[in-house]
Amino acid sequence: MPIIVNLDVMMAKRKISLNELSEKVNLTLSNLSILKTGKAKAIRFSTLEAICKALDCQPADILEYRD
Amino acid sequence: MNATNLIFKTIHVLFWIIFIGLMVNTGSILVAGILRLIINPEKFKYLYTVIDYDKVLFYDRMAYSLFVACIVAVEGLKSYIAYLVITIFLKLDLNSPFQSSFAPVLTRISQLAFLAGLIAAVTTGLSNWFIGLGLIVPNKWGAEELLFFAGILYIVSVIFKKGTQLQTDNDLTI
Repeated sequence: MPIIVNLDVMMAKRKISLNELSEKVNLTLSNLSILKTGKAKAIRFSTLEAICKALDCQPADILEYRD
Repeated sequence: MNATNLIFKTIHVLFWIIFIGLMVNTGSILVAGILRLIINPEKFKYLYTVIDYDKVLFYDRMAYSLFVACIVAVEGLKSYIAYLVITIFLKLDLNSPFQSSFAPVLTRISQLAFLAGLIAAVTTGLSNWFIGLGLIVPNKWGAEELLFFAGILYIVSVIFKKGTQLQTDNDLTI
């Protein structure tokens, strides 16, 4: 899929662990892992909003389009 | 939800009974048919029968063999369909019923039901031919019902396949 999820990059920049993020955005570890590894088929606006708020970033920092 | 669970458990038990019954029926017809064909039919006069064996057998051995083979095929396919339904019940989880492994099983059941319907139609044709010759044989083998069931089940399997895709998408939506 040409949409790349850069969640791990942003997490590294913000120095936040998966456990901390899962507590902040109220998502299970397995769901966050699915998102981080790029296995997710879709992402809800509410989830994107919560992640952007927790990581203090823009959606474009997490999602990237590569041809 | 409890009522649905109870209904499903009852149907599961019923399908086990149907499966065992159909297996016994198929085996009985097969064994009785072969014994009458290769050994003296008079010796196995009182064995399980669904056809007026002696008249058909004495009329034509080939026709008798074909007739028994058709009946065994229809009954065997019905019991295999019952077995496939049981395998679905064994894996069924009502909280997430659209499992990807069920769609091919449903398609297979519809194909087998179609095949059983075709063989049942041939059996009905043979029965009508025997009746035309003055022999008394049953001529209801459920061909129409099996073909109707196959058609409905094929549509259900196609819809189920789409449901499976939707559930997978839903599970992978974060």
